[in-house]
Amino acid sequence: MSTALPGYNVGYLDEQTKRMIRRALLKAVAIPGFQVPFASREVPMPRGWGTGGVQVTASIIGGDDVLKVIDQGADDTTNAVSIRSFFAKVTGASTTTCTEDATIIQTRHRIPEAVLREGQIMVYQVPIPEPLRFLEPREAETRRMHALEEYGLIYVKLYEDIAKYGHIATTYAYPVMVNGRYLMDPSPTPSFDNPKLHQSPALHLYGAGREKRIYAVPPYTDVVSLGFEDHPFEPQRFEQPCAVCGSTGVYLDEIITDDAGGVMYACSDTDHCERAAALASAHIDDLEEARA
Amino acid sequence: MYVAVKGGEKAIANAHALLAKEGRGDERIPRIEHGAVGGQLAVLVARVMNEGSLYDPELAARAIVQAQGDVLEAVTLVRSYRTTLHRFGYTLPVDTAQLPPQRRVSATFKDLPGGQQLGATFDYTHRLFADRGSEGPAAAATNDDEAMPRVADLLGTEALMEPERPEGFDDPEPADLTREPTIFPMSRAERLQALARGDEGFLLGLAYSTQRGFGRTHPFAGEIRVGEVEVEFDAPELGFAVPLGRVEVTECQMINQFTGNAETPAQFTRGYGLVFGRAERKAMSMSLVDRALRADEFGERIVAPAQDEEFVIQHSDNVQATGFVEHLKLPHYVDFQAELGLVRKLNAERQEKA
Amino acid sequence: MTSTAGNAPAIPAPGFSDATRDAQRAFRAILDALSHPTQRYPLNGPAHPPAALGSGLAAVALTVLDEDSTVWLGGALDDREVAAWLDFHTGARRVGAASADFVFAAPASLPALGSLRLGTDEAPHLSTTAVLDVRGCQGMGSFTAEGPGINGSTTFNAPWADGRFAEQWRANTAVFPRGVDLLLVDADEISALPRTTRLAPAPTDGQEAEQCTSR
Repeated sequence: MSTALPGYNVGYLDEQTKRMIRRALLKAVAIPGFQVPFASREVPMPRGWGTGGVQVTASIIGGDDVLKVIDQGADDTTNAVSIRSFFAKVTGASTTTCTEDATIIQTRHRIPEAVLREGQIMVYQVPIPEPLRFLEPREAETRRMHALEEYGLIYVKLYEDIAKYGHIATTYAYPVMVNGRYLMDPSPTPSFDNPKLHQSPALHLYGAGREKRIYAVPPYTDVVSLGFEDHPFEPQRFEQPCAVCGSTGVYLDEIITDDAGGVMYACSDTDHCERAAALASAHIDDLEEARA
Repeated sequence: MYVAVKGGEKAIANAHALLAKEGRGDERIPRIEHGAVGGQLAVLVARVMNEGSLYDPELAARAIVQAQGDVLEAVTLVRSYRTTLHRFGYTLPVDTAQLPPQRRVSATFKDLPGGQQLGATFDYTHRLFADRGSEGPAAAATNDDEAMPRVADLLGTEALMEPERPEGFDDPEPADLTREPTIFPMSRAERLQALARGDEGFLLGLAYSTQRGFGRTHPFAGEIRVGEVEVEFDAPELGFAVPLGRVEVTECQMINQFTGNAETPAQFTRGYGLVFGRAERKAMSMSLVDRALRADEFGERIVAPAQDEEFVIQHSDNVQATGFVEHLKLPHYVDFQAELGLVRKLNAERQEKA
Repeated sequence: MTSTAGNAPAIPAPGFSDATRDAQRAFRAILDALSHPTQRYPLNGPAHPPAALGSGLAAVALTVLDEDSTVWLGGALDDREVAAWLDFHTGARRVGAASADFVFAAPASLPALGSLRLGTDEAPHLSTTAVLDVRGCQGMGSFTAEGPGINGSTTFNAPWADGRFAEQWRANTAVFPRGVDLLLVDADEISALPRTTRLAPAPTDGQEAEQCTSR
């Protein structure tokens, strides 16, 4: 590995900083769902643009890794492109858009549709790591609530939803209970993605740069979305298939096609969509060949 | 037929090219040299050094030019470079009592040992546009290099001022905000670090709010001084401190009335500000907010934003603030989609009921 | 902030041959081990580590220790060569076992887990990571392990585990979220037991001999 940036270390972060983050990561894995405070550093993109994820990735990535970066499920959104090219520049690591090929996937707000495998690491960019923050703005107070496992407030909030709307009205950053102990914000992924965390074979690392917290969900760990017996957690569902590849049971983006109310729905996971579309067209070719 | 949006890389490259072009301005006019920025826009350079937490006028000047004058962008550049630097050791605390002030004013005493020294200030200028090319008689300006005792120390001898080090103070290692996780509540040393790198505008607003009754502290500007101090590096291998050079600082000691309580007699209390370069507004704001944040120490009721440590510290860092505010420009369509679905569902349910 | 090494050799043996690359690889092995408790991962250390430390422990030390961390060395590891080498390469401050961020020790010299720093309910991460030297252990300890990172349950051979370990570990998991995390380091392999791993003694032939060459 070599760096293309004179005056900066390989991997951008200096070794001291990497060690500090690595120590925090080890504790995060040992205490699933607990937010480990860390001395977040500045990175060359603005706070709020994935600086936590960038610091985590910079601390774990090596020459053997293959990095995939997605934003909103897509490899080609500007932030994903910018972060991917940053790591290509400062670490020389190889990159991919293929979920299966990646060893590290840095993501903003989606978990890929392809089932993750053991050995893969998901790195999440987290804006507000504290699931209780909007119910209690003070850090000193929420820290105490986690220590005492005092999570009544969040149930009250969800119950108020039910009283008002008849069902829980939280669609992303839907709170989960990790390993039966810590309430955790799975980052603002849509609740559609929550079930993918439960007993996932992959390691999930969460970095909140501005808020200076790192947390983790180890592989094969219970991750339960909050709910009530009579109003259990229900992930979102889409009625229609993807208009491009025909996939069902995937998360879809709504795309406005004209100014007369025309819309279509297509996969938010662009890698999945491309593969599914290629498979579908190969299948059609096979059928036509068979017919001929 | 819809095709997934592509071309992010090309679009970014185009944006960078356009940014460079906008930043260059009229090509018939020479580029601004960093040296010119450092020499002629020193107040701006000081702000970038303060909020960037790095004393390096040349680098700060470079950042300002590269950032096309966007202060927060320049601060981000400086900070994200600073954080990658290896730490070789620690300097000794600077002794501002030994600082030969280029400027020193006190609002609490008409005259005092060492006297008032106006120095370089806009305070007494008329804010009228000057004729081009008549910047004033630079050569005529002089200043005395004479050490002067600190005003707060003068009051301290009479026990009218809270001691700089409270009883039982064992001088613990100050935590380092840039190297350790932020845990609330903070020590005063950590708070002062956070305030020193805090956004000038935000601190000014908070300081102003304490003057208008939101956490009033009855302040007097005990002393404001500007000058260069020696920085010494502690080298354990050598057994003595090595001078590294001089840095220009602005120090403000705010003196605040305190009527006393059951434990403490009436006395004056302190708010403190110390910043790089010529930055009086920042040093004064810092000292007012510092004092407001000491409410706990004096058993004062916390009723105003400026007294609320988590509120002040969490929101004074402009690199963080601007990042989070501006990240709203990033795509959020996954979450928006989720909310869109919810709103539609709620509306449909409502119509069903009706 | 590094302390000077008394009468130690002037130039300690080299550390990683490529500090950035080797530390990254060693870290990933440690991270993998903690994420998949009981599984073994290859660990490559410096070519010529101090003899008492060995390659595996040296790799862990270079990866996790620096001026901002504290360490305690137990038993045979508390020797002049190791101390000088750690001073030179990491600058980690040496403190008592009860307050150290990292404790390096062989099974025989490891203090009772409950006597180490366990963290607090508000800050359970401020706890000790015990780095156990398990080179040449030949005991018969065997456990069934389950918890985060383990798919269902697994059998786990712990030739380093002495008679007091099972009870100490049970107590360690009982104080969750507080507790010590354990890295088990062989000459060129690492496995780990985070505080979340629950162990039940597996049926053995009744032998509980603790036989490690390192002390």
